[in-house]
Amino acid sequence: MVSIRPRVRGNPLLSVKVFLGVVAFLAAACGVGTVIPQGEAPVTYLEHYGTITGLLLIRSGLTDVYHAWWFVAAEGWLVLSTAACTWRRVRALPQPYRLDRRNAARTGLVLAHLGVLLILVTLTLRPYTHREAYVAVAEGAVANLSRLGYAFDLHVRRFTIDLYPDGTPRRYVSSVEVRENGRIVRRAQIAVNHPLRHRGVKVYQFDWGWLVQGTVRRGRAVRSFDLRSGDAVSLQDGTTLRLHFYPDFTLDAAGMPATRSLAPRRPRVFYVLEGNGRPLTMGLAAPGEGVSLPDGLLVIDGYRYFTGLEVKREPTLPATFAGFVLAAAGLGLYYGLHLTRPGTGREA
Amino acid sequence: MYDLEQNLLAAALGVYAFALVVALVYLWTRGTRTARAAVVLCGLGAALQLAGLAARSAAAGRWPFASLYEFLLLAALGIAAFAVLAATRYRMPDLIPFALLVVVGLAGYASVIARPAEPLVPALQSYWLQFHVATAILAYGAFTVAAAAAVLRLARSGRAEEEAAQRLDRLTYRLIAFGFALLTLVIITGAVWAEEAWGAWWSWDPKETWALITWLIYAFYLHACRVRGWHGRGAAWLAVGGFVAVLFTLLGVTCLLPGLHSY
Repeated sequence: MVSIRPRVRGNPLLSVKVFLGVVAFLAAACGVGTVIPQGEAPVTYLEHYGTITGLLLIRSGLTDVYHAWWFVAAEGWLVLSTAACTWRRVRALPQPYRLDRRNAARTGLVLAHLGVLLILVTLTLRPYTHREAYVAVAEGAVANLSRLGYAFDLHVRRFTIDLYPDGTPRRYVSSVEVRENGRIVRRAQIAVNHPLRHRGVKVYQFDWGWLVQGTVRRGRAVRSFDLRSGDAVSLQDGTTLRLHFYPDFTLDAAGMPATRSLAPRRPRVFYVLEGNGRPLTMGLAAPGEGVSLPDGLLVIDGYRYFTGLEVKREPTLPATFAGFVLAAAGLGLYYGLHLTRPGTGREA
Repeated sequence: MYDLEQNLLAAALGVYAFALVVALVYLWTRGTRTARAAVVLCGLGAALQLAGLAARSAAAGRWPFASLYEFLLLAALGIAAFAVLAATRYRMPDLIPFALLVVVGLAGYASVIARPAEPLVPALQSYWLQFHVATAILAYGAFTVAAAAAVLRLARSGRAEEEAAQRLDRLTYRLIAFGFALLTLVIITGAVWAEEAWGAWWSWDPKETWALITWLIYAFYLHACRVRGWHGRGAAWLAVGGFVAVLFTLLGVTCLLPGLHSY
């Protein structure tokens, strides 16, 4: 029996004992991060936990554990420690190298550690290296991604929702044209689990919704709007008009507005005029018809889908995936050779 | 078809429960035949459960991998399979009672939340779902039986039982090593899939994070045992702690912590 215990030389801070301490610390910190809500507005913590505890949580970074300096430092420590361990394992490989069962198992372990190292490094770097943006684009409109620094624009030709026979969504698909300097370079479909890949950028189907267009007339003033269902338009007198679109309008069991399906069989806009945060009046409007408001007129002109796209560039992704492959292959090789050895279960 | 599925699964739960009673009797009487009966009944329960899941798959036209209900049944099946394997191949029928306790608990809870299969939502329509769930079932099975061996290990304290304790130590280590390799695959397949579906291979979602915590605990165990030479009661307690994290990832996160995972 040969021990795989690498001879520990050099910096004692990179020893296995300290490594185990850091692992335990990270596990505990992750646990805390799942119990305390992360990344909320400061006032939420002050209200929920009280001023003193709330402030303590915010100051210590426990409200954003995974980006707190001490968490990133522990990750960095783990990276250094794993790197040192991997290096020791590489040096412990016999010279000259002879491929036999034992050496293959040892090599598997080196690969697995290299893989974990790559994953850890890219996980730690990712917040600083990757860029993402969310765009909501109406059917027929163009997402000006080039203005956000990407190499192309996206023209959304159509957004469709395929349904199962029972009416639940099966697929959300955005049919797009990729344009570079105004020229169409390709046509593509973006769906959940099928992002568009173009010039090192990935575009994901993220969400969707309805846009409502229309006007509010008050005397001579005409206010046009084109807003997302659920959003509000501010009017001149300080009131706001909130609009909810229902493609197949009905009232649910509780008497609240709802939709029976996604098909526009009975399209209606439920509007609420609010002043000082309180509803002043509310009602239903059908597209094309005018509805009287207190000293005004609301006209809904039309409605259409918008598609929410997430645009992402992550330069370290190939390294992460290389890490996945190395970790999986390395562990498979090591335990495949190690655990299939009959009898002892001790180190080969 | 749903009736057939539910009848088969109810029968499986009944057989598991009976097997548990027989296994507890074995702990009392230590009869070889009783032990064999418990193992056979456990295998029979697993076969019935497999048939029930097959009926569900046939009706839904997809693998039964899509809800907490389906995953609980699969996890119970994985644990039962590992328990039978450990009891026969490693001649350790003593592991059966603990494993069956967990199986009956999971399958029993599943029967409470049973509902007909629904079509897959868009995010779940991925080949990665199959790999992700299949590796998770095997990992959970291995970790549960490892915890069973660790609990038995903790129960053996006398010097006369030193040899048996060492055998249990070795079995715990091997099962955890196997489960750890699979858990690594669970996390990797999940990450690759999340990169396609959510646009981020890691988002600190509670389920992800708890899978990572579980992975860290078992990484600690493997390094402590292998490199630092840990063994005995301390290592056994750590194996039990890892299993508690597994259970929390499976049930606690789903019930207590909201996140991106559908179960």
